[in-house]
Amino acid sequence: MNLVISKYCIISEGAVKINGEKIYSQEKVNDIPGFLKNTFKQTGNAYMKFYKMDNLSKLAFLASELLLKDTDILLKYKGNDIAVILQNGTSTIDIDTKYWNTVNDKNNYFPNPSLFVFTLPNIMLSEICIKNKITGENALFVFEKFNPEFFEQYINILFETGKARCCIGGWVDYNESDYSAFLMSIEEEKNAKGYFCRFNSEKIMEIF
Amino acid sequence: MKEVYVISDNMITSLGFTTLENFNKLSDCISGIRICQDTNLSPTPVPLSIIDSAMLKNKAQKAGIGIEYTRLEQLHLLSVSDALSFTNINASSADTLFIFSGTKGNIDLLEEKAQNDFGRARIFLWKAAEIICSYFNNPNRPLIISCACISGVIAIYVASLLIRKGLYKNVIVSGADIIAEFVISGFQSLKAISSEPCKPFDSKRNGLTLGEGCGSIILSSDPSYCTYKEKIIITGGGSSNDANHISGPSRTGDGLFFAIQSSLKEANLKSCEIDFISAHGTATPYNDEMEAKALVLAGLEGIPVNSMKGYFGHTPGAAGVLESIIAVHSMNENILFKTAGFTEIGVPGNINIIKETTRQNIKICLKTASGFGGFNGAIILKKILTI
Repeated sequence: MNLVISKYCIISEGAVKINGEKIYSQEKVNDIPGFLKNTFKQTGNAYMKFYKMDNLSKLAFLASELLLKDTDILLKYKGNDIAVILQNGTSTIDIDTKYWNTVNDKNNYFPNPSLFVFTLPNIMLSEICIKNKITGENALFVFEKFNPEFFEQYINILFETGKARCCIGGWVDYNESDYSAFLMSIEEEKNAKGYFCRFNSEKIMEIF
Repeated sequence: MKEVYVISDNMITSLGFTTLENFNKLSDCISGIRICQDTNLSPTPVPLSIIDSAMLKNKAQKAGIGIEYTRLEQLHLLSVSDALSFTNINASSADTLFIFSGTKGNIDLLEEKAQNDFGRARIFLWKAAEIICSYFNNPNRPLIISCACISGVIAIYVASLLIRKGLYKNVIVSGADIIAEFVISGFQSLKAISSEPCKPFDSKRNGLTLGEGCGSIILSSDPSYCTYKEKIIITGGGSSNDANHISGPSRTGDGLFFAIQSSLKEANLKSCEIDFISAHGTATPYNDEMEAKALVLAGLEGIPVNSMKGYFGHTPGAAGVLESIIAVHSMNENILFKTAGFTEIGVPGNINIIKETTRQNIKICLKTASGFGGFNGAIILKKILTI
């Protein structure tokens, strides 16, 4: 089975790149949430739920919107045939800390449910699935750093066993000192309308 | 294609530190849920299923597991060690992989004073996993699955895919979550916690009961390692997303139905061949209703179903592993445990919730899970006849 990366999107260091080309950047990003919001506005996207998301989900969601934009993926594949497989490093540490602050101070004890619901790293996958009606295979793996070898193995299994015909996957991480999203769409060569490169861990290492 | 055999296991819950202890308590219909008055955990009394800390300390000390390990790590180390003690599988070999399932890891370290003893990195799931793997001298980079309440089922499912593909011979799956104020307060803020011990699928259910636990299950392509009377394989699995709501379950059950369908397809089975369903059954009004609808969609009406939540609570990242272990032993002993807390059906469809513990031959079991994020998972366990 010949798998290809039909498109990819990277958001890191104040820049957005599609297939390696910088499409948006902001100099000196001191305020990462502001950068994500500005980038989202720039895309002209009117999906209001974005503003309710925590930073990790915002980052993943933004990358998925830019990845799927101007592609035929959602037309070509049924929701059941699309897998969303992500890796992440620091889980939900950003929102965990914020939620904990609503509980920890006993003089100001008010656990906030709208923060708590984001304290699970798989929620970012759901935000992508809800927007695009994707109902296929879902999984979130935690590694210290992106693990392209395992990613390649696992995606290959999903295609070979007929569990997925398309996969949106990669790495999304957000914490107080760093953030990065690297999402790619993976398809069978025969189904892809042109592609960026072959799908294997060496290629992934080259582009990320 | 290789088969994936269940080899050995251990479970630690409020009911005991071994699977046998847990199994015996279940056989006597004993629940580990108690009303907790500890204001460090909750400002108001709340039913919980908690592992006795003094006993844990004692067991760890006896096993030479020191205080350099956190509560969560001690659970994993004790549980995996016990599961390994029944087999000849070498945990330090390159053909053995560790897969962890969990949601919040060392969440108790979020408090700064606790961090001082262990270091900040320890709060990350990969760091705890690394420490556990190095205890067992395992050379592989472990996998960690964090998919809310379905993590355990997905961990077993992923393990089965990797073994079937021949990438590893053995996989040790260990799932754990501990009770902490962080988690209790969160579920309380969502108004998801029942004021009484939970009542899965019951007409008077009004929320879940949280629990803590650790389950370890060892899988292998080599049946000679098997430690049970019966040979049981993981023969199918699947996952899906409701694509409906981040914290509420689907109103139709179609997401879970897709996961069940995909596991049946992989196992090459029809729904009528399922003898028993180990459901998720958290006892929140919407979850149990959704599960019932999914079982109807999948053509599984009338088949005996139970939920373990009334015995040891909802142990998020451990639940799928713990409940699969109970399913394996139920299949070995041909026993169907009643659903603790259940008296009167409170879900749609002809759902056959097990009301009394009974003996029945079980050949094929479907284990399901659903959780936050609209995530669903299913695996199928099958007893194979040996000569």
